[in-house]
Amino acid sequence: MPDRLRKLVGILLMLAAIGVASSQALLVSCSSPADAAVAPAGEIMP
Amino acid sequence: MKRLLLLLILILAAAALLSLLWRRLAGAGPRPHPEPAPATGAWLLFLLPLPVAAAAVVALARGQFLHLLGDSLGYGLLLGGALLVRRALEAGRSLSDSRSWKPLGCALVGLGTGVTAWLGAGHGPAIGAAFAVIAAAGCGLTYGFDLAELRRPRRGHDLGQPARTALQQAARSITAIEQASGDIRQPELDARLTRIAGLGREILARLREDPRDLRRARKFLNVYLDGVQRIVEGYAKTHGRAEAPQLDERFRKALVTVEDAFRKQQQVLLERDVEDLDVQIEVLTRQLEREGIL
Repeated sequence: MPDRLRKLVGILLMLAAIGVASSQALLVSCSSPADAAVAPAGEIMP
Repeated sequence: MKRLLLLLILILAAAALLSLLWRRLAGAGPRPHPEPAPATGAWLLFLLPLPVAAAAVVALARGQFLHLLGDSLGYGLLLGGALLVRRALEAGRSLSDSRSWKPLGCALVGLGTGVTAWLGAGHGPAIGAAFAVIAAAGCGLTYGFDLAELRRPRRGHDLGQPARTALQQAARSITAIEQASGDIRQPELDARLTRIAGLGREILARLREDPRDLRRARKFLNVYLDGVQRIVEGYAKTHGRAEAPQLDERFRKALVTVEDAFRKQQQVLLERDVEDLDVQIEVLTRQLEREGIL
């Protein structure tokens, strides 16, 4: 594999893995518990 | 999902901008540095995990212990991996540390990504492991795993303490020469000093690989490098204060002499290698003849 192609693939893989994981971690931390949690069964929303 | 895409686009745009800025800064410095820098610096490994640090802060502020734990651990591992990879890249140029840290660094980067995906982003362990493998593979492809370097027995470890000290001192001298050359605003002298530093590093690399050559290079280590360092530092301090054409000329001549001396030293070491190879080929040929193969 040519050197440039190897580096390009490597950078894309890093962007895909580290970038996605870190941005998802930030989103999860930022999203409020009300967004993330499922409303308990039987609870009537106003 | 939209927010995720938006965030990804923002990260990519920031990375592209930083890359552009980096290239501009590297190209618009006070002097062009002919020594080839690594094609891909480790800055990406420092940039990409930044949202994890932010996530840890947010988790701390909101009292989310599990997320705080996952993000902190993940960021620590990612940062550790990035530092190790950067150290390996720098060691490749400065020879101050011949050990390759890239495999360990990439493994830490993978582990940090996996932990972040698992404990920070809330994926399952299997998906976290997939993230880890992809990140480690990406890191390895980008910066090189250097697995062969790990398997290769290191003759450099056979160095005695005096030899190791001498090599470290020599590496420091070369670094000091490079730093002092940064203060000399004359492209010709700067280029010559860069060549001298490059030759010095090549000689040091050879000495580290084969300590038997240390005896031959003692003069180079003890006399030349030290002298060159003192001359270059002295010239860098004085030439900016006063115009002295004679001094410039003498300094130029001294550098020409030093460069010749370094080249000769390198040639001596190369010839020693050729002699060794010659002897090995001779021995092998005789052995093959004795066994009737030739």
